[in-house]
Amino acid sequence: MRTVAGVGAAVLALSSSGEIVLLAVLLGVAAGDTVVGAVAVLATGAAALRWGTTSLDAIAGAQTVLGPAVAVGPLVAVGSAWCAAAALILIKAPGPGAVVFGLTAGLIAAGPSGGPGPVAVRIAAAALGAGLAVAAQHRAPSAARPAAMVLAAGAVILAGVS
Amino acid sequence: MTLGWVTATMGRWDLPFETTGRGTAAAAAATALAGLAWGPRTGRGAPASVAALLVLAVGVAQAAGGSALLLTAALAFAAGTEAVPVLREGARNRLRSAPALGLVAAIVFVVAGMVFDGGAGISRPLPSVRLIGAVSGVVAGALLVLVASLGSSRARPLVVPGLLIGLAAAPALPQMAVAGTAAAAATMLAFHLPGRPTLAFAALALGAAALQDAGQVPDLLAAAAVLGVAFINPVSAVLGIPAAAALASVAASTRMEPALAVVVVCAAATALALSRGAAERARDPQIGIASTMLPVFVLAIWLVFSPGSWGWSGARGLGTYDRGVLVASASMLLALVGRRVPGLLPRPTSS
Repeated sequence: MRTVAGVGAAVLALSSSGEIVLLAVLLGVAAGDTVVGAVAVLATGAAALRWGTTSLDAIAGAQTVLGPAVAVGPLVAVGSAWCAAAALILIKAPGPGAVVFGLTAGLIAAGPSGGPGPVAVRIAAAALGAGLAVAAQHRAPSAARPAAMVLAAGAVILAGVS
Repeated sequence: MTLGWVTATMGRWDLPFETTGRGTAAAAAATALAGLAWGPRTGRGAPASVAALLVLAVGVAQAAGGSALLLTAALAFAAGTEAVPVLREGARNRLRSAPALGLVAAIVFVVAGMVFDGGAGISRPLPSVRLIGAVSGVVAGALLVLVASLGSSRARPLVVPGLLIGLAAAPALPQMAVAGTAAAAATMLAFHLPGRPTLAFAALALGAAALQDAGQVPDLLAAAAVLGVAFINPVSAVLGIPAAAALASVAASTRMEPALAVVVVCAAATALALSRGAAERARDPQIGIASTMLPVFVLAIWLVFSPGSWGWSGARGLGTYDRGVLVASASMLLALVGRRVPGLLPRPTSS
């Protein structure tokens, strides 16, 4: 069940289809852990608050027009995107779930859609996110998880004030 | 009877009472729940029980699109018909006084409408403009939902009029008071009774109905509550996913008022509590669906997979959600098939 949900979440994230709530639910099921699921909800919620929409299509479209979330906009909004992405990586989702969390982190940070250029940025961000998440799963200290929770909460607060 | 009602509404027949698509759907839901839960009585109780079912459906339809007069009469009659025999026989459920609560709720609503609203409350459409009428509506609605969720299975149809009254009356009350109280109650109910998501959904629906720009959130929560009461199973928490998506959309796209913030935070806590209950229950290998519940199961699947097509319930603008569910379902189906082929996808270890 967790693997299947992870596949669904990965496809949603990579294709930017559907609602961000659905992505958060599937990430939570893939993780099979309440705390990890809560971080997924907070991080994706921060992205929705930052862009003013819960549509993954619209979030990708906005990044295509304006630029990657971690590089454009007010400082607090940029900080929110960095915090959300870092939280998804550092929470150390169990098993193959780490890859999906990393993909989502990459797409929250820099997930434009459209022509070849934006798609290349998107693929690079997703690959980097997945790699960092797997590395964090194996090598990050135990303090990474509490730090991820703080970062996720911070992402929501920063997105709210931006 | 339900078929005739639906045909009359779709064919725009002239009927002696007002019908709307929403009213017809609500009446059909009440009738279906009654069909699932109300076994035929024997002896003198049988005619009264059948009459209660008929009047309840008429009342529900009227409440959703017309005068409140028939609704109050129907509630009093249906609740009273259910209360007297059950109290005489001795209730074997957890809440022995549940049917009596339903009767009290109906009487409170009628009396409040007649006395405090000068009789106008029972002869014009809901919601009531007077504060006392609205308060009595919310209280009566909450009591009816409690009766439906905690009482005997025969009381389950009362969830439909309970939600209709509550959702119609809530906007007439102070936004922050209703939203805060109802949302906090939803969180508390979710943590204490995770096996009955209907209660949490109904309370959240009341809270959302009090908000100014909640869109389709109250209707989607009400639909989840009505379907959930048929299952009485923690896994029915998944019925709330479309409402969660709609609430998130409202929160992300509008200015975050304090009342909306309270509802969003309480909804997140409620989702956390319900998901824990659902996860525990989902691990049970004995989980299954009775054949009589298949129609409700189909409706539940419809709600979760394509709420954008529930136009009659007020749901709209959920095309993105529908597309996402389609994409995710297709990929998950392929993954399931892939797991059957050795080596394509990793299988979980048994340790």
